[in-house]
Amino acid sequence: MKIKFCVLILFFLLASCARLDESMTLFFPKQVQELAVSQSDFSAFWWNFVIIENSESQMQSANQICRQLKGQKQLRIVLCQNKPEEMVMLIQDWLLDYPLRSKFMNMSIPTYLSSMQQTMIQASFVSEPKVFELLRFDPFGESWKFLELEKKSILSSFTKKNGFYFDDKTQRLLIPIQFNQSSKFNITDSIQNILTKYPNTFLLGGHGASYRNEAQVKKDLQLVSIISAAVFIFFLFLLAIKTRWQILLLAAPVAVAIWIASLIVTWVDGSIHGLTLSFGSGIIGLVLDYGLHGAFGAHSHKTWKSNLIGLLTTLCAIGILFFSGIPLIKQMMLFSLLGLAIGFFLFYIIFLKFSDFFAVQNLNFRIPYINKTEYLILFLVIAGFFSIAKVNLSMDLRSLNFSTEYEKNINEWFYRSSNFNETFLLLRYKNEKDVWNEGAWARKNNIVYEGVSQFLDSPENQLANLNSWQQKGCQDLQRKMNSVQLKFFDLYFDKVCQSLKIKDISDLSEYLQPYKSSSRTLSIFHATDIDQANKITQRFPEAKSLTRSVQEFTHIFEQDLKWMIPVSIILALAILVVYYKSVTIALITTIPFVTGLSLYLLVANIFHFQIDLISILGLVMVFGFSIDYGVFSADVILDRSNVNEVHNVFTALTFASLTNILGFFPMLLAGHPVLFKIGAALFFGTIGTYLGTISGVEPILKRRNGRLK
Amino acid sequence: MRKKQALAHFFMLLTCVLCPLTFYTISSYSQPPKTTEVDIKVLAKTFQPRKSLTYLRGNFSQIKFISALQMQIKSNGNFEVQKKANNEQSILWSILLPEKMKIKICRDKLLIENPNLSGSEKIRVINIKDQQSDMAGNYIYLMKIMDFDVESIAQDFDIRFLEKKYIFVPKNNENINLKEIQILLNKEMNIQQITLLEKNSDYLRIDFNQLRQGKLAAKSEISCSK
Repeated sequence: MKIKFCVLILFFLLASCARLDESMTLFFPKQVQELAVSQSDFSAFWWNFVIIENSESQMQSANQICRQLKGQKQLRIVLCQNKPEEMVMLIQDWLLDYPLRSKFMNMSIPTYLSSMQQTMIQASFVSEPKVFELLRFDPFGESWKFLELEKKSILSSFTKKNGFYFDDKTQRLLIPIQFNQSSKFNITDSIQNILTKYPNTFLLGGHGASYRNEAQVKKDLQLVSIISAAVFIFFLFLLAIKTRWQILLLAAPVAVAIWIASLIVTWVDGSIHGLTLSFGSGIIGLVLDYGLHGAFGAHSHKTWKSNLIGLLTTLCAIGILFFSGIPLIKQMMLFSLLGLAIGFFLFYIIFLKFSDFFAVQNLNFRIPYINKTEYLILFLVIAGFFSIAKVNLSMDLRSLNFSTEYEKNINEWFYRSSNFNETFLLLRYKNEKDVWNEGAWARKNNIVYEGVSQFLDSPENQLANLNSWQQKGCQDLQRKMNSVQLKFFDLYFDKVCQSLKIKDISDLSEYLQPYKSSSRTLSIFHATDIDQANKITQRFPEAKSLTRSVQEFTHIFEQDLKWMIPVSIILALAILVVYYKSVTIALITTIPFVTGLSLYLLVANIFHFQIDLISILGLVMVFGFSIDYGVFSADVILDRSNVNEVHNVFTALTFASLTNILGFFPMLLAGHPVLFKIGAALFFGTIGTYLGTISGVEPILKRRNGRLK
Repeated sequence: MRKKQALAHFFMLLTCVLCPLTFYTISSYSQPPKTTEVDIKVLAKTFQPRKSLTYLRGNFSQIKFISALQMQIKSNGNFEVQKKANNEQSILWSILLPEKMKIKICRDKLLIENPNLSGSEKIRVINIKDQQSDMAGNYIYLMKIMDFDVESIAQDFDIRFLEKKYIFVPKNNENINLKEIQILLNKEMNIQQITLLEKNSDYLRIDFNQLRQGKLAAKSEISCSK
């Protein structure tokens, strides 16, 4: 398997021509895919929160953090101790758009004039030039209304203290920040670097969580690669001593197979996901076992027949998973199918021509058979069987997320404080007219709403309102204004009465930006109870709930697994039955898989591992190579080959298992759940598989052979 | 000839004496009047009786001069400073002209009541201690000055005394957009005039008269607890 690591490095070089996709799009089925895209497309989701603990004693730190954050180009808005010039950009468009929101009424002229006077009185006391200028654009007192509207609904339960959001109960202080682009490691890194200087600070939100996950993976991979390098050198040394150096060249066809597969997937899907490349390459790496088997059994006529059966059974599992409703799994399996088939074909051609060059003979490197170990295998299978009932199976996507206990607690505290039961997202194309009715409907039903129509009315109503001002209202009002008012608000009325135009979704007003992407609009509805949630789904059936979407993903994956696992096992068994023309032998060849799975389930039960999506991907890989082990060992024994041939095949399997075990052991030390879970499945799956091969398949078939004799 | 010589010597002597005298006189006129440094503790002690007042009321007239527009915004009315038992102060600023309006300045917020508007628009609330603080502008200083809160003012300003006026000059020029605040006191040590001079040459001048203790007759709907 260390060669597989070598292959991985090679493939990264080769696959550089493939277009790499790192988005979350492929994670979700088509029905909920749009929601995943919205997370990176709309700046409404780019909000994060800097949490400062023990804020009473940390006030000085909070001031320093606030100042430093404001100097960061990656941040669009930093809500702490805000100076008006930071808000002017947002407010000015809103003020100018007043005639789009409100019809001119002749009878309201005294009210308009009074409001102007109120603004001027307010301006009398303002010395900050930016604020003063802003008030000159606010004859109708709209700026404070905008500040109220803009208040993040999720922050409503926090009080304000010295320019910071504050939670009285926990003494936590909050600085809401909005990034100017979707989550990327480098973007968040500069912010995280500021926070690491201050103890008791934490970045809560999408960017923070992605950053911590990526940082943990990097840290884990560093550890894994150091140990892997040591294992790899040891393996090379062992190979050089025990076999021939040529065997290292077997890595090349695997790398070529990965490269070609990645190009085909890129051609089919337009791009290839990073996870497909990493996990899929691991699956394709299994093809190396055929190469090793070919080298160690170079002179056996059955080697490539066994390899073919091994390949077909592996393809069964992978082929069935290809029909999954989750695009990422689909792509990963297409990539693996292609890679395995291409790799197998390349090995077959190479061994057809150069089998002598790679041939390794008369080698016996394996754990010797210990008498009665079949009972150990039997115990393992029984224990594994009983473990199934107690296994902690969860397809919850959140379990793939790396988060500490502190992070879990702080997340719970923060989102509980919002009092929102369920949040619905509604994505529309910009030409959909119904978007304009959302705001009024939400207000009528007392539902907290964030979206375009929170700020603006439909273009038709805007036009009617604007006409009422530009055709007559402006003149009537200006006639009644005194000279001081005319002078003070001259710039405002010049713009509004002459050049203001109606706005549609494609408009670039700063205050509408969070809810627009290049082609769509986003509306967010927060339901505080089930009644409100029902109202939202009835009125906007196309609105998707975040919680329900995650549940839907889990449900689809569970439904997929319910039929895929039995079908792939039955198909693989059918191939084996046809090949061996015996149900018993076919069942015996599955012993390595059963023991591999049993050991993993037993360990998972003892150590309370949760089995999830990633564990199942790991088990698919275990299924792929464990059946191969069963077939290779069964064939060489059933063929009544000479002792050397048997030794050679078992040596090949020992090498393959040893590299798997050593290679995946460092992943057990990883902090990130994804690396740990796949590592655990492969590590314990391989040990179980190897035990099942040497203490299950071999003695049972030998005894059966003896009886046949 | 001698007479002429004597006359010349006389003028030379006169020149020698007069020139320095003239120079001294001119230079002494051109120098700004000297300001006196104020001892904050002494000043605080002086205003101690003022600070203990529960109610103070009077009339005001104010002018805001905007240099860029060369215009003035004028208003006048009456005011009431109220201090509660917990030392928490509020100011009710009742504008009568050009339009009736009330402004309540509280510790943490500013409320502007417009009787001509209705519903939610009738009262604007500006939170002084959050991101809207700059919208509250100089009301914060007005509050401190009316409270004779010398120690608090001295944190942000250097205080000097010049010809019956106290001059407050900002310590940190970057954070405050004011050049200086001038306060003129009357014989009874009541504030007669406050002038806030801004960096861009705008100014706000408030003249107070008929200062007396006691509540205002007119009541307002707005309160700090709103």
